[in-house]
Amino acid sequence: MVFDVVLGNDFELRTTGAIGVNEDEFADFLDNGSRASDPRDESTRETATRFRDLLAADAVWAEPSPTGVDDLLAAIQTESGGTVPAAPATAPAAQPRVPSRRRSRRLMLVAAAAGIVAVAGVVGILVRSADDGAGQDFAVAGTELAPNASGVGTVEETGSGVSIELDVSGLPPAEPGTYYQAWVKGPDGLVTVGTFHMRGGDDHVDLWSGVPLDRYPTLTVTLQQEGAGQESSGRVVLSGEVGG
Amino acid sequence: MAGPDERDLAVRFAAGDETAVRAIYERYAGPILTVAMGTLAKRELADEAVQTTMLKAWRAAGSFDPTRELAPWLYAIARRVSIDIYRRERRAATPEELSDEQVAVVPLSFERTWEAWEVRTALAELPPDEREVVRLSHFVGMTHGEIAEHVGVPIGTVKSRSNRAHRRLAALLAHVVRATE
Repeated sequence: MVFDVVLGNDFELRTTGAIGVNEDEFADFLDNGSRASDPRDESTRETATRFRDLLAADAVWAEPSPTGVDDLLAAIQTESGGTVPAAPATAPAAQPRVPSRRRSRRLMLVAAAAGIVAVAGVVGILVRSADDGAGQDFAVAGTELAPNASGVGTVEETGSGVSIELDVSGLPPAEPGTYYQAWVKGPDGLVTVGTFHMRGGDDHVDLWSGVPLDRYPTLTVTLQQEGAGQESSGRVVLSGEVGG
Repeated sequence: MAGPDERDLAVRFAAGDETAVRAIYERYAGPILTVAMGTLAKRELADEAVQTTMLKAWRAAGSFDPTRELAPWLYAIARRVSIDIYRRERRAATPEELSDEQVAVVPLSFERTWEAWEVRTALAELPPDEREVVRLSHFVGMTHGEIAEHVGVPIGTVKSRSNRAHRRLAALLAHVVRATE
């Protein structure tokens, strides 16, 4: 049995040849397996057995994520700087400038950011909101301590401080006795902007900063131990850059 | 060689045309997911591989050679992305952190993932009623009698659908397989 696939240059793969097995026997064996068929050709049996195994595999029947194409379009939109027009049928409806109501669109960005993580590593990527100028969106990426984590944050100046909304995916709940702590830092130092645990199944975190983020542009999230003091543990699980 | 439709699709895909992106996704996300799941243990990693593959393909679509087929080009990207994610996960996990499923799963060989891609693509070509019979038979493990009861058609109808479906599959997969005597 020869599987005739040639991998040439980076993007070249070609298949050649025609089926060399008896096609009727092959179909019968695919259909009935060993229960009813007895193909004389051993290669027919081998080939059909391999394909029958594949027909029973999860991987062959799994359906892609229903939101995957929207996530992809959001990522393309982001990378192209918003120059790619979205079709009206799928464009998100205009939302009031209330931070919590931007969430569904931002969740798409979370998924988009997850796709970008593989390319960008742990470097946060600025992704500006395409639909309004009220908040500034930015991406956060997981570090080696949380390689599956990613997220999108939105910062917005308010009369009482800087609101930082964070939508995170892939960050496991903090184990009992531990918690997550968010920080902003810059040349002037390190300031905490809140703590959270992610144990309730929610992926949305509201943080507040009393210091301007143009002077504290790096947002990090650390894993902290209860009772271990108020200093950063240094165990950074998420990181991103605000502004740009 | 890519047909005129595929060439046009690739050009519009590179330009970020939403209709083209949706068409490419609808046609190829399934096979890409199949390759990713054949390589990676976790569904969320496979989903990441689909997104990354599509994004990389979009970035590289401008340099796509229209004399080539889209499918093997996308397959090559999907395979490489999946292996990169697999290696990243292996590096990130210390031995005590590896789950049983991670330990058990070894990436499928190149030939197996390409065959899986082709089987997935062939299944997508089947009429829905025939595809469902194949799914219930192979994936769910139902007998023809159970399928007849489940779908609500006579058993003779199930048998004829199954027969037609498998002949169609054999024909659709003919270009993949070559046997030596």
